[in-house]
Amino acid sequence: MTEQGPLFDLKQLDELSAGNPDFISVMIDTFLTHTPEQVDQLVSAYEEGNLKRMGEIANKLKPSIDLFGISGLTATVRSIEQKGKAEHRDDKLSSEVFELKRGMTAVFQELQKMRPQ
Amino acid sequence: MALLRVYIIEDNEVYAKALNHHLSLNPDNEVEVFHTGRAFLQALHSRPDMVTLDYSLPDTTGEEVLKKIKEFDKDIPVVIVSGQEDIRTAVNLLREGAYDYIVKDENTRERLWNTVNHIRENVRLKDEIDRLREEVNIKYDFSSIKGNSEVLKKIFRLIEKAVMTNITVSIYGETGTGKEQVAKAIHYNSSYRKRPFVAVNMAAIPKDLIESELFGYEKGAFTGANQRRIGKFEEANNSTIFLDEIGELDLHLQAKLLRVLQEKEITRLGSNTPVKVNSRVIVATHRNLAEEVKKGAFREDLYFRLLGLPIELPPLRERGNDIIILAKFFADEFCRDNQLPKVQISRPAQQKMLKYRWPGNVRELKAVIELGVVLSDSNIIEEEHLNFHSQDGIKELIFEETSLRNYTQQIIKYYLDKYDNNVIKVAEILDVGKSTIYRMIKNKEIVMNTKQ
Repeated sequence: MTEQGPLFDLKQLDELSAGNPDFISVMIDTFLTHTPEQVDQLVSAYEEGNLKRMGEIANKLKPSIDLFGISGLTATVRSIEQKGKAEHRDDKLSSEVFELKRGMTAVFQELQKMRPQ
Repeated sequence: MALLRVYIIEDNEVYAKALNHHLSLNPDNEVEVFHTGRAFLQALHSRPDMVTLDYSLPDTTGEEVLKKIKEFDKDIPVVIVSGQEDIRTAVNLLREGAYDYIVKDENTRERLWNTVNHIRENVRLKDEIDRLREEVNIKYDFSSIKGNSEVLKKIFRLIEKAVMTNITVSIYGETGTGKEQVAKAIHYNSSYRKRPFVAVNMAAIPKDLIESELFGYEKGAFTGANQRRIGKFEEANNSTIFLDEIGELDLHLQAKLLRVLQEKEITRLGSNTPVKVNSRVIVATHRNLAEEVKKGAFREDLYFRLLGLPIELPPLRERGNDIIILAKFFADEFCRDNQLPKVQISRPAQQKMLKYRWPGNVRELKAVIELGVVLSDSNIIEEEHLNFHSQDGIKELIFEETSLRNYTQQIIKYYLDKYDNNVIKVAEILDVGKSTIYRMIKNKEIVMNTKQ
């Protein structure tokens, strides 16, 4: 994930909201409620050597990452998905999983700041 | 159109919310989200108009859910919305009956929006087709009655009125005019159409058997009654009973029939227990029942009870070009049934048919045409192949012994009826002055038929 680029881009959600201001905050809430658990499950599956399960979770994470414009992780999540599907562990997989966890955690922190306190 | 009920099956909460919001932007969509295959299948009986289905679900696969939807109702459109970009998966699901396969990417929103709109249009068209089909079935399927003459169109309008309620219908017409066809058209276009059409010909059953035939009998009711038998009225319960040649029913049975119609119950011979019956009654006769009432041969109370909606079928000779339409229909039908090549009817043969009086009406025409097909040599029915049963036209015409003036009146009246009271045309055909016809009308020597 590039350090320089934005962590996420809510342009897609903004278009989808069709002028409904509550929609984006509902989507952020939903994202923060469900996605951290998915990321943790993916990491656990990797650590347990259950690559198939890891790939399935990556498949589920993919549309959320796309929807929130987390462009720095779109290629990473797809690579993890493919390797999981093929049950193929290569040298890069470990760093990809780590990168996903680190990148998503940063996104969660930033989005958390946008929530009304 | 009513709301389009869209069920979304998507276990990713974030994506499910996005789809729900997007599709709900159209107020004509009623969207419901399910996060598991099991939850959706429990709600399937409520029959959505369409389903969007994620391929990977926590408790089952999209393939399994698709199969179950198709087993329930193969016409429910299922759009797969999946993160799986594997082309083989997509092809397999489309083969299994999926309506479309949309990959989750930046174009999903627009593609899904368009697909839902297509489905909405298809549902609307399907509803429209179903509605029109039902309307056609109910109102206009009189295909068993051939012809397009004005007089026949009037009959069709009466039949349409008859099928709307279960009013008793009385059909009048010369022998062979198709009274039973009209009765069947009413039955098969009415709400009773799924039940049997029960026809009884009063003239064809010996007088002493009519009562048991109509009302049935108990075992031992008479010699030979070895077991209970239900009658035609019971057979036609919640359906149509067609009493053909009702004018032939003797007075004793007319009284019994009147009672059945009034009380809506019958009593089998040899029984004291009445049985409730609910039948739509259609009667037919070639006689003028009003005349029969005057002569005392038909009960007046039964006459009024049966009158209901009267339909008077015109004799074939008054149906103009219907004769040719029917002739061609019978020729085609006979050729088809006998594996013969199709035959044509020559122009002179058609003219000959149009000039003939057809005392036996449609029944006679059918017999004449079938014989014509057999006698024809080169797949064309010529004049000489048409053998009319009543060859001597003049004898047919002067059968009734009456005055020349009366004949003149009858002839002019016949043509006025045939040409919708067009005096000028009739005067031209008969080569008489139109003032002669006007004078006869004015003097009430001819009463014009003003029935619509």
